[in-house]
Amino acid sequence: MYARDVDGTVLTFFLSGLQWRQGLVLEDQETHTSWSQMLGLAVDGAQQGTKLAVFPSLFTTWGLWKSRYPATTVGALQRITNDYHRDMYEHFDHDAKMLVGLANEVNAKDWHFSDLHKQNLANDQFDGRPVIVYFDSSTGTPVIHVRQSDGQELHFFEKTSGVFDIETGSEWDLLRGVAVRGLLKGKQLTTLPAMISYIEAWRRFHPDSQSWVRSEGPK
Amino acid sequence: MVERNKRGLKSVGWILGICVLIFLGYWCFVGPPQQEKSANHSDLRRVTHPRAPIVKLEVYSATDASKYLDEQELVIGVEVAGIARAYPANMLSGPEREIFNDVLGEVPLAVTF
Repeated sequence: MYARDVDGTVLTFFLSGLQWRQGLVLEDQETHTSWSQMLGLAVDGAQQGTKLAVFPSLFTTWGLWKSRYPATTVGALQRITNDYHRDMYEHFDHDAKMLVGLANEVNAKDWHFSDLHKQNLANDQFDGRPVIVYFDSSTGTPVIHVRQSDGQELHFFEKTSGVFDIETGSEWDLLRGVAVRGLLKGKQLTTLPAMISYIEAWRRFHPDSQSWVRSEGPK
Repeated sequence: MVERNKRGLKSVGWILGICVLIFLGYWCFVGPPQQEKSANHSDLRRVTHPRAPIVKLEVYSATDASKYLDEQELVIGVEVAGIARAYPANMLSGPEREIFNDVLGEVPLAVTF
């Protein structure tokens, strides 16, 4: 999910029919630059080297999204196929091959779905910042936030009744990154532009990416 | 015989001249720019033809969309400028539709995953 505004010019993207590192290449109508879809990076043409800004997004089910954002709208086209039920099962079959990752110019880190299925909450670090990786196992939805509120570092843990932070005992809806009860009620965490990818593809684009190692023993 | 040889030499000259021109033309217009092109350029590989940009989406309310979408159906959701919008993954899949050009509020957005 990228911003289309680059230095005051709004770009219109289309599929170029090209590949770069075996990944999709987008082209824009305005400058005919080639952009790697995976990196949001101009790999050839007038704007080569430019990076598109990324908006955090959630890859989840319609039911879960609607429950968190009841005022949501839907952007739709005609369906490509009517077997969208099958899409979902394929998605779950693919969980063993998928990860959620963060990357900037210097660092990349990834959390495999197979590990997140075993431990769905990871108080972790990325690029010197404390982050919380949360995974809704029932729908296979990962999300990553900065675990800081007004400069205070937070550590999260899960009980059957919900997710709480150790520091204030506030309860959080981590899909939205919002405190729903307690001292921090209403506080919003900064959501990071995490990417969902096949492990194999991620490795191709981020060969030095560090994979999260799940802590053994009780959480 | 001599006349014919002369004519032959003349045409060989013409052919050589044209070859030189073609070569120079190639050198000027194709040669140098290729040297200036990045290493990335050579990594680009054409696999299919370009597709027209998708700029017009139907926008539905959650209530209307629920009539057509399955609860368990995969979507990619985004919240920008206080506006939330979900895009059904089924409608944003290859080979023709891996990117939508949308606008949320006043924010132009490239929808892809």
